[in-house]
Amino acid sequence: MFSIRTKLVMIFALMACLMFLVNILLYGEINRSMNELDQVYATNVSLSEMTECLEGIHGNILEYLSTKSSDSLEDYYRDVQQFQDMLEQLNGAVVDSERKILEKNIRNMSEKYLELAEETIQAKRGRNVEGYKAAFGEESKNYGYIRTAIYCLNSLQFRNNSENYQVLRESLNYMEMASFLVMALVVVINLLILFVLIRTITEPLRMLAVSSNQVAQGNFDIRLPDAPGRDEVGVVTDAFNKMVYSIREYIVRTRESMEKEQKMMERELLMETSLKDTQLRYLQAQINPHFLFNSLNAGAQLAVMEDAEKTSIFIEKMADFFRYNVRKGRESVTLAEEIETVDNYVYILNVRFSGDIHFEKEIEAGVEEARLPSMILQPVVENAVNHGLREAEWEGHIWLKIFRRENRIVVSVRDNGMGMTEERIQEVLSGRIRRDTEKDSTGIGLDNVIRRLELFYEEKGLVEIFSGGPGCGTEVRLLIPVHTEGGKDRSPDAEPAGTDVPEK
Amino acid sequence: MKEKDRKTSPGYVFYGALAALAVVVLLTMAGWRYYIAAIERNQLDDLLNVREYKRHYVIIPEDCASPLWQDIYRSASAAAEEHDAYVELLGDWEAGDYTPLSYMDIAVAAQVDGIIIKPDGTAGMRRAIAKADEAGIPVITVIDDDTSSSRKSFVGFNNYQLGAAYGREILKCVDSSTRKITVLFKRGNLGNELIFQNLKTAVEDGLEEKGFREQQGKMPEIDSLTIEAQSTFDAEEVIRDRIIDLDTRPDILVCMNETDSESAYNAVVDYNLVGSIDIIGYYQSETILDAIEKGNVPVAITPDTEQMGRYSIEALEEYHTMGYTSSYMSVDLNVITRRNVGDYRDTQTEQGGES
Repeated sequence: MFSIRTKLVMIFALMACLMFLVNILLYGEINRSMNELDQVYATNVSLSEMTECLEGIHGNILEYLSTKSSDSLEDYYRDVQQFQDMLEQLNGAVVDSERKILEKNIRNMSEKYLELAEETIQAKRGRNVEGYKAAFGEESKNYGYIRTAIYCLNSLQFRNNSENYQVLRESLNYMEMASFLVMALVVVINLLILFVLIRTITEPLRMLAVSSNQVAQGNFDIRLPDAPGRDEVGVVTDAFNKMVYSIREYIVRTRESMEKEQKMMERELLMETSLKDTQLRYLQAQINPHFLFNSLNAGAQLAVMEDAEKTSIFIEKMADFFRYNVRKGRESVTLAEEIETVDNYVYILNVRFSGDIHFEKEIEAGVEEARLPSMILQPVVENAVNHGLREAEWEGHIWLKIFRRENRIVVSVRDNGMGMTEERIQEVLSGRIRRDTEKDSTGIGLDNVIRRLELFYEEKGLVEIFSGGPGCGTEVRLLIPVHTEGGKDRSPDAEPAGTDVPEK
Repeated sequence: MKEKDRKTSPGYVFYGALAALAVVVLLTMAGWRYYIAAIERNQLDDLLNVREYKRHYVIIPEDCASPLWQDIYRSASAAAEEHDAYVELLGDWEAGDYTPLSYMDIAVAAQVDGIIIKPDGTAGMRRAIAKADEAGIPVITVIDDDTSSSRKSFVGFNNYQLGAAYGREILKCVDSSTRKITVLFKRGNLGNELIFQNLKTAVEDGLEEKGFREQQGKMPEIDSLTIEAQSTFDAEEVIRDRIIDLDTRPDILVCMNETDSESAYNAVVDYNLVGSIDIIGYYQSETILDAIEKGNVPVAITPDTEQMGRYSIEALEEYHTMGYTSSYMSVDLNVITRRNVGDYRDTQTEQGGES
């Protein structure tokens, strides 16, 4: 399509051409009509010329009669020839028109006159004095008649021409009026066309202005209709549309990333809260772990000095257990470390309860280095002891089984304790039972474990509980996701930022 | 949205406007052409749509404007049309102060096919008629005859007929108070004397029969007044003089042409003499017909102009086809009175409408 400049130039050129064309047409028409009228009214022979010629003949005859000069005779014959040529153009037929019949009369009279003139000349040549005098008399009389007749014809034509003039004037007036009307119409139509064409240029601009205003007010959900032409406005409109689209996209992306960040911050906050909670529980135990494990270390040394080996081991394991709690409280740890803590815990319990608990492990090779949040495994085992085995009348067994299944490491803690009802399982999984209220506990409940696992791996359903029913034992399974290449960016190895707490 | 686009689409408006413009221009041009064509048709009708005829006759009138000659010309034209001939009224060449005699010369020079003229009884006229005859142009005389000329035929009424007709009408107007009857003549009319004698005889014989002389002791005086037409307005003055003068004032004024009739009537009206002077008029001019209708003029004698025109043309046609024609064709003399004036009014209106 054309640029605005070309368009404007074309519009004005078109207007000018239209006006020019109409003018040409109108004036051409006037000219044509005038010519037509001219042709119709033009007399073939000029009457004044005819009179002059007739006067010439008569004068020459007179001169010849008076002087008999050969010059006048020569002129006479020349004039007669000319006069005869003119007569040829006059009407000779009997028709019912006043002018035409007068022409016929003139023609006939003139023929007669020429005969008389010739007769006069011949008589003069023959020196027939009486003859040429008489003939000249007749010739003069006829000469007078013809002159009068021509004069009459002239005045008739003059009258007609005056009428024609009137008619012409009238028709010119009509044409003038018509031209004026046509011109006025052309101007109106021109204006209309101009208006329409200019609107095609300004309308997209106007819409662009309106849309820009809306965008300025924050409304990005608009789209301009495509400009009809590929002129400058069309280009600007396209660019505008693209710009609005880009802005909209950008806003969406920004909002998404902000939401993501927000979520992450929330998660971190929760994590922290949970840890704080955990730590609080340790503190609630009103034991200073450092003091405790330092004291326990002192106890162990004392036992060695006193050769009480078993006591020494026991105290050492106690110390290890507490040190682990203090040291690893806020870190991710290896599965091996967690297993070791469970070993310590079971050892302590077995010392306390004189080997009531039979703890068996079955660990698949190569899983020990997997990382998970600290203090996960021990609470599960503790749960099995406290709720499964404590009330049991029979020999208590706990089986720890760790193996890979697909992209998970399954940590199974099974007991042959009291078992659970299905409702109870659901209550525990849904976190409705919040807190372990047993006094004889490290303070970390199963709900805490579940929540921390979910926060850590950003995934639900990582804990499963199976039970054959009351008295049939319980199995708690932790499904630890294994970090795989290209998998979740939050691998178990990754430390949540800012969660590291220096050792005390 | 699409509908809207169509409505306001610049293309549609643009082409619509162009079409409207073209229509306007074309209409104007067509109107203009039509207008010019109509003008040409009207104005040039006499030049473009002419009819061609076989023969060309001329009527040389005493006076082109007189109703009598106009009537003759009209009827002659109508008759000529039937015979494929054209009649020209030759006598109004404004430029030359020509007499009927000059027009005779002109007609002969113009080599027309026939001439209709009222001869004036002069030798010049006779010569002119003879010259036409030599040139092979038949001449028909109307109203007046010149038997000694070489005219081919005379179409009119004879003087006995005219005198008797006038005599009959005069007799109807004569009453006990009638003392003087004046008959107006114009010099140059052939047979004035004959008409007058005939008229006088008819009146006197009639009065004798009625026993007028016995009753009144004396016959009314009948005289003739020949107006020497020196100039155009002489007749009017002479008539007025006659009426003003008590000694010469007639009781009955007899007119032999239409101009005299109108002049006499106007004089009688001007001098408030309607009723005391009876005018016997000539020809059915508008003024005389009005006067008869009002009862101011008792009677008028008029030749049948329709017959006059038609017979003249027929005589010429007969001459051209047969080589001869009858030398006298009689036309009727009509008497217009208050009773039958309506008929003439009707025919006049018809003819007026045609012309």
